[in-house]
Amino acid sequence: MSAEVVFASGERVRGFLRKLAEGRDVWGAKLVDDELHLGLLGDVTEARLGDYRTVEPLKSVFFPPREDLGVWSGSDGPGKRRPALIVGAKACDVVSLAVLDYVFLQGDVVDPYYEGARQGTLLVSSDCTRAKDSCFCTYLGRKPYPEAGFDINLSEVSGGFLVEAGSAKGQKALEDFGSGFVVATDKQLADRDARREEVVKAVEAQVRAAGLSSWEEFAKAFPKKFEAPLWEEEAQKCVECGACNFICPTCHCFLLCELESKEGFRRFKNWDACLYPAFAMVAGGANPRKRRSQRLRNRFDKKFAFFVQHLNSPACTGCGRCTEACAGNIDIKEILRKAS
Amino acid sequence: MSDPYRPIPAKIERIEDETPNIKTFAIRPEQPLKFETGQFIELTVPGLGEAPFTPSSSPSVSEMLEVTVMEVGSVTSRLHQLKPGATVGVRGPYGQGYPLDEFAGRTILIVGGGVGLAPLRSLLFALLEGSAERFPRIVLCYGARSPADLVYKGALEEWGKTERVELHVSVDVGDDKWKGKVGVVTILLDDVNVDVRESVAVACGPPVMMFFTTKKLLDMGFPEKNIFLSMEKNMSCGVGKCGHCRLGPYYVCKDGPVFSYDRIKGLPGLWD
Repeated sequence: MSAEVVFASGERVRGFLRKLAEGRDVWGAKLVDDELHLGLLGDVTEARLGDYRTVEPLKSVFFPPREDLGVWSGSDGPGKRRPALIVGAKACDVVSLAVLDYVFLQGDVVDPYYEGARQGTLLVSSDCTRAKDSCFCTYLGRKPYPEAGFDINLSEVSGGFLVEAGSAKGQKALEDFGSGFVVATDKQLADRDARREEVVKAVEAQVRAAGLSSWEEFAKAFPKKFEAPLWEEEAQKCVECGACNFICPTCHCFLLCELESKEGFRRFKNWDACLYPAFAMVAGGANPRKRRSQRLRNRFDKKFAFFVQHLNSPACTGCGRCTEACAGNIDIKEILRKAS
Repeated sequence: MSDPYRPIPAKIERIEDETPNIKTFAIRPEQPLKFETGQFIELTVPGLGEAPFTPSSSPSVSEMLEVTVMEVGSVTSRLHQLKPGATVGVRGPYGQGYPLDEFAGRTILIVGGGVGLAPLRSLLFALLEGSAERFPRIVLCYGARSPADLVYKGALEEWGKTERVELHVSVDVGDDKWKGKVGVVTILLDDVNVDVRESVAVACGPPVMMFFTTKKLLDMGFPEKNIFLSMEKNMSCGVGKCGHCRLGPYYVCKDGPVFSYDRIKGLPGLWD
């Protein structure tokens, strides 16, 4: 089988996924109280493949909210995690991995915990079949369907799915377990493209309705708007809960913590939030971001200046999770519009 | 698996009182920890947490490190309660230290404030272990709040007698016995005679001292690229992953803590 896009019925795709799931923890979307939540699944076929992204960001699989790094005062290392299979990840989460890969895998030092989790994972993504109210990925120049970074991608079409390998690992999986998959016809490809285009149009309409143009415009204007009153105004609504940080698929900041346990001194790597007042504070009390407005602005500085400089791409995927999670109703789109 | 977040156990061998709230700890790690002067380490108080410190000892000694610690937060308070023989953890070294090759052959003007003399003591050891041809002249300006707050009193006396070192000391507030200068550390720079074209300046101290010292050094005519600042930010992981110490496009933990001023000038939060 070549690297061509293939077609398989829903039944065959489910069989394929069951094969991939053998010996792996399976992560996927479950519908709970009308919301799609990312969680461990008992059976891979429970995973919702369509719709849009989950409430929780995909980073949790590779970079859990609280990770036990083992006892450093003895010889007890961290427990080995089972390899994971992710099913139905959406494009905004797939692109977030490029940011996390940069942070945790690049540079002189590699984060072995992230690396281990990442290497052991098989990532099966799928196209969004509709847009959520908060979605604005096209503003970031991205698409509501995965373009790269997946092992396997599934696109729902009439009568089944188009299946595409995006990596050697994915290609191997198709070769090993994709029995009965047939090369997609032009008609099926056109069907996929038309469905994709429909979702693109829906997201674009939301971007337009929010008065947004392009992230490049914001990034260009940002230095000039650095002292603008909008940061103070928006920060008035912020309750410093850190939800925007935790729910963000690219926010990667963490704090190393210590606890005494029976076995010795145990170390944890916990999510941290730059909206917290003491995030950047040093022991003597000096704090480069004393004001809430500085902390709110910092989030944009990091995503649209720091990462653009280092990664040539903003660390925002347009998933809209921060807007949904904000207790103070701060809308990222509103800030991007005001500061452009 | 090499784990960058895992400390090496280390034993506190000696504790020296410097001032009422500053102590120097001599620490012996289970494995030698080789560092360059100006680089920092993360020191763990087991079960509590860690904090970054730049060793104040000579980089030529890797079996035993010294860190000088002011009691200001939770980790440092607990450290101050520890006794010799206690076990702590160390990780590192991290970041970029002082570029000694750039300093070679020049007059090195060192300005320290309070406990900020700690990394500078390590630098002085390194410079004085180098030959007089390589580092012919060192001008050290050191200021503290009061005579009781001066650290390394023995070493200061020693340096005062060293031919290559020109020592200036001031205190913000004197006492009955103080016969030296009174005023903030920048007043010492008025008495310093250096050719800024042949010199480099190095500063470390509290934020406000760094701000005024940099301003003064610029007024003296030091080019921005020849002013080296040891930045203190909230370094946590030490390897540019955890995000706490970001300063503009940099992480202080991996791109610093020593920066030439031209690289960081104007960045938000620089002096806070």
